Amino acid sequence: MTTALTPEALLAVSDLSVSFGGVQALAEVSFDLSGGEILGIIGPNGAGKTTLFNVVSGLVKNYAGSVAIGGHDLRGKSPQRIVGLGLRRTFQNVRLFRSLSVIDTVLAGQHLTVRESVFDSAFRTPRYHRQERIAVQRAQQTLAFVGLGQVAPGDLAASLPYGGQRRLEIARALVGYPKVLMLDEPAAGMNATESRSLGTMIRRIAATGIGVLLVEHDMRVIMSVCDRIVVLNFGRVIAQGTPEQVQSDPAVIGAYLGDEAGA
Amino acid sequence: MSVLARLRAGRRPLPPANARQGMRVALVLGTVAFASAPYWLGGSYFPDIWVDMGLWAIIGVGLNVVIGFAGLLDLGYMAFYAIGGYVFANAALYHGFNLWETLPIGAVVALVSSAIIGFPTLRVHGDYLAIMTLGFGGIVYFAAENLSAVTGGVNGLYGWKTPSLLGHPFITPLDFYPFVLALLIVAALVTMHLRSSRIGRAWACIKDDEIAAASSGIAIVRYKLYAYMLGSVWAGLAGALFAAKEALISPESFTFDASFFAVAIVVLGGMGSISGVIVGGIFYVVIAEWLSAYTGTLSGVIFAALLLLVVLLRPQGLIPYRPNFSRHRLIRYGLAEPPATTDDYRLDP
Repeated sequence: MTTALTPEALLAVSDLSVSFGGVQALAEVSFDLSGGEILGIIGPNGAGKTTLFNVVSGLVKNYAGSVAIGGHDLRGKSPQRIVGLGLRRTFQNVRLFRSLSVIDTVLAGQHLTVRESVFDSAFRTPRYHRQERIAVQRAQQTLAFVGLGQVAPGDLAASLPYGGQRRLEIARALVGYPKVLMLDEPAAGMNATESRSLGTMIRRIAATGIGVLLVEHDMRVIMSVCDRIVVLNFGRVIAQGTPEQVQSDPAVIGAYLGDEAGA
Repeated sequence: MSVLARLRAGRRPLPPANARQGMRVALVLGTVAFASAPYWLGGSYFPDIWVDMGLWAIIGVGLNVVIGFAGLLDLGYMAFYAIGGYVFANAALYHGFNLWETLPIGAVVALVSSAIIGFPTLRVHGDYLAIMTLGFGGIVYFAAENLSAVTGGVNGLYGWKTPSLLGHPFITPLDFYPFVLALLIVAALVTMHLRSSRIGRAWACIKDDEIAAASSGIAIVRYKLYAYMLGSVWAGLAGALFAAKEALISPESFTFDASFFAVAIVVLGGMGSISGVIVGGIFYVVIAEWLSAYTGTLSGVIFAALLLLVVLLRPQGLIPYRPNFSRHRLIRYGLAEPPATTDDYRLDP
């Protein structure tokens, strides 16, 4: 075997197929993601991008094929077990906790790294205070990193503008030290300047060795940020490669503009 | 203060510092005066009412963990009150245990039984959970009526040796009052601490959005179970105190009505709000006592109508829970200033 020569893929998806009733949402999708890489997933609406995210994050459990993170097969694992393996994600329709403040949201994202027992919490032991201090300060740093350093930390998460809510979701995911980060349309609702700074941030995240899976409709973001792109159409991979290769692929042009244009 | 600075400080501007100080002093004095009322009102009627208020407030504080913090509708909460009461009655009657020796046993039994009930139950959602807890409350009630060997059947259990502490016997409600008050304070403090900690945040996440909670690494069923257990334990303790104070325990205290009123106290007081549910418990006893003195059996109807009014006019309860992160905690734990640069931000542990 040559596995010793090629570093093991951080996220390995092979022959993944999902069908809902009679609809084939994903068909024999395969790709790898290694640490530090930004992989874009693009495709027209209904191509299966969100389904793919839901399979990887454990929300969709009936599928054929296999998905593995760091060599651990994800089949049968609950979403929180998969988070334990190093996966974090954001959602296309922002899913923030409506009764939590901005900073509490980022504290909640540290659920697996805050080391305080129920006893510590109930009786406010020195360890509780130590852990809260670490967690609150890291939350503040994370908020600053995603560009929310200037918002009032005590305000409700839902009171942020839409773009801010998307950034807060990224902060909640990022604060948990992910190995694989899945971003579902992070630039939605952002203007050109904001999405440029988002792109810079995603690059910085990947530079630390985190593998980033990016679903996005904003092609400027995709083309300027991604190392590789997987193109889905009707649940199938129709092209795969660098942004340049994908842009000039006739099948991709066909899928986006209609078959006659690509033919 | 500029508008921007005000926005950054919080959602709404605070009243001037001296006014806040004044309100705080008035609140503390009022609470102390109210809590010490049975001592200066005297007699045996008022202490009894105040013990009831304390017990219902403890029930509210406990059930608030389940409903207010974790968002689980529990319609059989008083089952754990019954369990605590019967554990005490059995220990006192057949094994000569004193109340103080029984309290920890009651707490442990409430924890264990809630774990056993919660483990299969908490896998179901919403309405189904409500129905299952309702069923559990019913089972415990009928067990209390029919398992005569343990519960004394419909006549209940009574006739145990008067509890005493350091040679002082506990007979009148006023004897029990300090312990009810102490348990209420401990319950309020512990649940308040839990709310603003790792476990409390996990509960809030589960209540708001289970999918997002799971995607943050929170084990949903396990944390629901913790909420169920850490809520039920207070009912177990309060149940033991109740049985000791009454010197009698019988099934009629644990009908479905009691569990319904417990839920009503939490909703009326303000889900998630600890001061709210304490006020809710006091309010319930006042209404129940005062109304039933004048209106008899109509008091239940009137209480239900009041509950409807609150739900319609003030759905967040009498004292709503304000979930904003307190400035105090931010000053205590946070950085003095937001970090000026993010260059040294670490993304790996």
